[in-house]
Amino acid sequence: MKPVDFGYVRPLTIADAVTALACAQGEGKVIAGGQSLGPLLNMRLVRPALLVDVNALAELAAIEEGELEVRIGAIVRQRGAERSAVVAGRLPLLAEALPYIGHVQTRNRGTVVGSVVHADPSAELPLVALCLDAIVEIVGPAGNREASIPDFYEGYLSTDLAPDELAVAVRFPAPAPPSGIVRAAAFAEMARREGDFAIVAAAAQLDVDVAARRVVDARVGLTGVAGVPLRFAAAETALRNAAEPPRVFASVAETVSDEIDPDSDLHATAAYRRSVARVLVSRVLERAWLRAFAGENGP
Amino acid sequence: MIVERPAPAVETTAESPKHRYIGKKRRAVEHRRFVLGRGKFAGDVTLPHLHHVAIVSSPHAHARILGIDVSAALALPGVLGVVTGDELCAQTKPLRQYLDMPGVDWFPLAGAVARYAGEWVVAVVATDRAIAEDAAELVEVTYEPLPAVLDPERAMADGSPPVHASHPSNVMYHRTFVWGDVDAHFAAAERTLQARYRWHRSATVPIETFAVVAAWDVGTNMLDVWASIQMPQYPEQLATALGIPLNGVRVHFDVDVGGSYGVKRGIKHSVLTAYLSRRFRVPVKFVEDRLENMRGGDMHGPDRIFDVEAAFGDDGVVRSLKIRTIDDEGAYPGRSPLQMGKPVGAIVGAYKIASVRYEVVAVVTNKAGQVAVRGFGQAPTNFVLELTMDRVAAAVGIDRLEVRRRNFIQPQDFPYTIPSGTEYDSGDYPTVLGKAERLADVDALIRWRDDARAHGRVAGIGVASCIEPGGGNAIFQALFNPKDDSTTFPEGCQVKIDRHGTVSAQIGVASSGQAHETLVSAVLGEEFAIDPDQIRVIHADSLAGLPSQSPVASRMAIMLGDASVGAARRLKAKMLEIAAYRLGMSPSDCVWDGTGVRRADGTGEIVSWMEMVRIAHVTYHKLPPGMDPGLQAQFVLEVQNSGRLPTPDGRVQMYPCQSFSAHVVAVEIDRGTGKVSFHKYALAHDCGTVINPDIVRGMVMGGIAHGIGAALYERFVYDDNGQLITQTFADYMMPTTHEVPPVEMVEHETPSPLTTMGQKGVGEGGYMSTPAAVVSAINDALAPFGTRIDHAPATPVDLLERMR
Amino acid sequence: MNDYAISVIVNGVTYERRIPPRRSLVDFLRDDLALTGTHVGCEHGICGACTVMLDGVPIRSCIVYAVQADGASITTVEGLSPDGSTLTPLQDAFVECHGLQCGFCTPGMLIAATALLREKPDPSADEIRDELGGNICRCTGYQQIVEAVQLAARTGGTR
Repeated sequence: MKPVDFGYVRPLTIADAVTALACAQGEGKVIAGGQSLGPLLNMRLVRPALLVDVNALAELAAIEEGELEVRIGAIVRQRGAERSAVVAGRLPLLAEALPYIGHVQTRNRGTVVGSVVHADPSAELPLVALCLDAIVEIVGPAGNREASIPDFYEGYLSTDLAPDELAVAVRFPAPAPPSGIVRAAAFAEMARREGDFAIVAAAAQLDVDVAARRVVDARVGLTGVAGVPLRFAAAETALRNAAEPPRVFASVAETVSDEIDPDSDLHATAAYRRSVARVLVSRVLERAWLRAFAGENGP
Repeated sequence: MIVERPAPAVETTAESPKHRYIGKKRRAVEHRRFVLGRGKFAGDVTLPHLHHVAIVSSPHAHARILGIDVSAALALPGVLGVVTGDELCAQTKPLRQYLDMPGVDWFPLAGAVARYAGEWVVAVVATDRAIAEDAAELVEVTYEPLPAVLDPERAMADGSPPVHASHPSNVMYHRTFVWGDVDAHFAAAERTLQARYRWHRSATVPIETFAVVAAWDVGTNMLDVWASIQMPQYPEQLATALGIPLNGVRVHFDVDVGGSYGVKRGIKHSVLTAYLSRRFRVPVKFVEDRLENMRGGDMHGPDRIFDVEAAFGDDGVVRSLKIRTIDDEGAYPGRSPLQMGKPVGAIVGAYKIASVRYEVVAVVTNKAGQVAVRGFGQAPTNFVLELTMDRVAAAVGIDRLEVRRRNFIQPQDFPYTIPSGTEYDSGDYPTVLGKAERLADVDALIRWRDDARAHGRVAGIGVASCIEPGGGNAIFQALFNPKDDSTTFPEGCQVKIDRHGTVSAQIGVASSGQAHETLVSAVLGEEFAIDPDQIRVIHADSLAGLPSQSPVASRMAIMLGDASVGAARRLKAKMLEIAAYRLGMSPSDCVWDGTGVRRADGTGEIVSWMEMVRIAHVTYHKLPPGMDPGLQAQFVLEVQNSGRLPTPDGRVQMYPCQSFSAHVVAVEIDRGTGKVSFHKYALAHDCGTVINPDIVRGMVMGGIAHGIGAALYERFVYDDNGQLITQTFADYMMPTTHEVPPVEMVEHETPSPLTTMGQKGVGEGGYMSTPAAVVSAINDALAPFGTRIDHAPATPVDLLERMR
Repeated sequence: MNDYAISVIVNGVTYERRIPPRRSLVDFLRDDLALTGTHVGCEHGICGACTVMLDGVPIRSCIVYAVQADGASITTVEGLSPDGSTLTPLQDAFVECHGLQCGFCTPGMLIAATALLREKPDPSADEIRDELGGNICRCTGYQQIVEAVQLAARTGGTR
């Protein structure tokens, strides 16, 4: 289980990285944490001519807190994000999801951006990125561009990132909730073992007007039920419109599970996924709602 | 003729003050090298000019090989050579298989036909493994796909595609044993039930894959082998397959084996690697990568369908059983069908069941071959026995623990002969079950379960008991193949006391985590009354060592333990003679006192250890006339209560010693996801006299973890095209720290009357009981839904379906 | 492809080697440096047998390539004990608690647990299970491993 022979560069600037990718003429592959890429390389399922290692791009090592967003650079480790006070304070949903990824040692090396960009439909972070309307910052031969999720995701392990482009960061919008509004998030996952990819995972982030007991903003999504993570606009609307939100959690979950059309595979049947999706959506809504009142992971 | 063996224990108990080291906490001597990173595993062995192997395997479940073009591979720089199945099949003898199956040959590489996806077809030798893999990709094999058969029952049917065209049927063995008056017992029974069970294909999957280094020396015409092997008669099978004299094969057993639990039997890997070394005249290393291991390593475990009928009374007492088992052997049956033979020695479990009909069917399909897995086939059989006892309990409305108590063989019944002819040596099953009940606090568990149910949760309590035969012999070979009259399964140990008075012992096996150096040094320390940590135990190579059958069958405490005792006692007798001569006494008037010898009446001087050593090694003039100089002894022990062929109706003394355990488990099933979590895991365990408490506990805990894997997670799944789709560790799910709960354990000691210290075997029982206990708990949890699980592993999908 | 010159510090010793870029860090440690204490279990980043510390952080060395470690400092199981023969409290606790059987997963366990104890000198059983959740052991059932880490925490952590 050894990779094909490949060349290797470790550029010190973004420009050099992009040049290296361009020189590889589509046969280049970016490696950051390598926790998904490494196995694929070792099994020769990915066969690059050139590996472009971005781990020396020091400018991409930071979590930057802005007024309206948090920017996570391409070599920020998942473990680093997990321990970040900025992430805990501003991105409660990301903070909730990070511990579900693999194990400590894979999070020590794996990056947030790498997971978002790898687009595994059973991974946690693409779902978080979707729910938070994240933006991928991309540098390529033609210059800089941005891609918003969900447009970024095209299908199973497939994005609109070109082979000669480099994702340098992901920006997670994180505007402060208005006064009197509490932002609370919950993440739930069914995996055969802890640390495995999700069979189904659900995410919810609710901005709750605590005094009025109303949801003013809702993000509800699922992973593991399609080739890309999914968000559910109708469910989010129903939550915003609900006079007493907990009363609609069950029907929202039911609607969501009716809306999806999952596949059967080795790990689960379609019917199982549909059923578990309903259960997990219901659970994350309840948990997020309770947290909004407990003030547990809101700002 | 009297078979000599060390005398069994007399009234040995755990508290016996005569034990200095046995039963006491003691660190395993092997561990120091492992925690320092200084273990020596086969993959660590390196030699000058070492070359490496990569494999080309069949992408088809069944295909004729029309042609192989190796020219591009050979042209790659760094490639030394390429060997195809045609060449290997012509130049080596078939690998040994144990059934009588004319026309069914097994070679390390497929010859004319590949019979499963992943079967090895071509081997490439190169200067490093990566280059070998590059070259393997350049080998072009032309296949003509053939119809494949994947379902064992379909494979048995008329008109099924044959896996081996030269064998008329896919059924390789079919026999029905009847022990006792089954028909009469069924006719007279107040109640009967029948059930079908499925034990899906899994294995113990050590973290170390199989690794072998072979070096053919053209100067001496000798083959040196370092391998991660746990297998009886490995050197013999290498020599036979390669057509070389057995004294030209030297297997180095001073190799640490990175886990085995039965499966480290890479004979095909080893024959291939040895052949490549001889062919290309370089040392060759082959370390399976994980994909080669999972798809093509022929290391899968039992894959069985059971149909069971039980005849019992309203009181829950079972009179008779009918068990039919179909085992899907994969393409090459090898030794695996015998895994339906070993359960014959405990076919009624711990129960006084009067008669049994046992029908076994070994069928081949287009899947990877099986090999021995922890328990050698008895984990699935015990799974079925115990779930059947649960069904009996449910049918008569009696508590599951009580049904077991009513059926138990009682302490006063030992030695007890079960219908299939095996005599159980000793046991106290009701007491052990009682200890498990108390440890688990079954009453509290019932309250917990009922409270959980009252709150809408899904909770259940499971119970299972298990007979764990230990000691091992190969008598299932003769049972399943009339042409095989093997009845010997010995184990040897050689002990020396050197000129400086230090003690060393040679054993003829490699260890895969069982701490045999710790075992032998403890036993010798006890015999010689010296600190075990001062005793050196080495793993001799196969030419230097005594006969050994490797650490299979929970046998080493029993066999290697008693062989060590035997050798020590021979040495002690010699030393006593030396000391008596020195004292001018008759040996019968002298005794050992600590590490010296004195007059039996306790008077006079002590002849010290060092004085006896010096006489033996240095001062020949002080040695009793005619005595050989030096202090060395060996003992080769035949299995206790063995050596007889099966009767014509298949009654047989299987293993000599029977350990026992009782497990009580409480689980909760997530109503929304079907995920199982443990609330409690407790067991009581009896393996006779405990030699090292930490090692015994570790064996049991490890077996339980394997059992949890088999019960809930692990399965080799083939798709409809015969492709293995669980070939990585992302898909073949072994339990981690999160899936294995804390386990409480209490020990009970019913000594064996057959062994010197009363010890029995311990390696396999955890794995035999746990799947039954876990599924028993699941079924209790599912009872309110009026449904149950009769297979393993039980997945969340299965459970959620049943809770609809 | 051309070999790549790297310089790494392993267990305090600087090594300079030329290697093909595709060589994994674990193969480099084992084959180029003869540090065979680190083991290969799956080569796809799941089993944890190959865990080493890269600049003080435990990672899986089967899915890091040796070229990536150029300029880095690595600790393997051979480097845990300062003199290579005196056991650290953690190593000693593994021996004392029978926290291993075949010894194959043990180096990875020791590296992971060493990192845990540096960060949390007195971890709970749950925290230990969390930290070691990515290291598969097929022999022990984990219980005696957890006990060993707890004992090490009592007897002196990673000192």
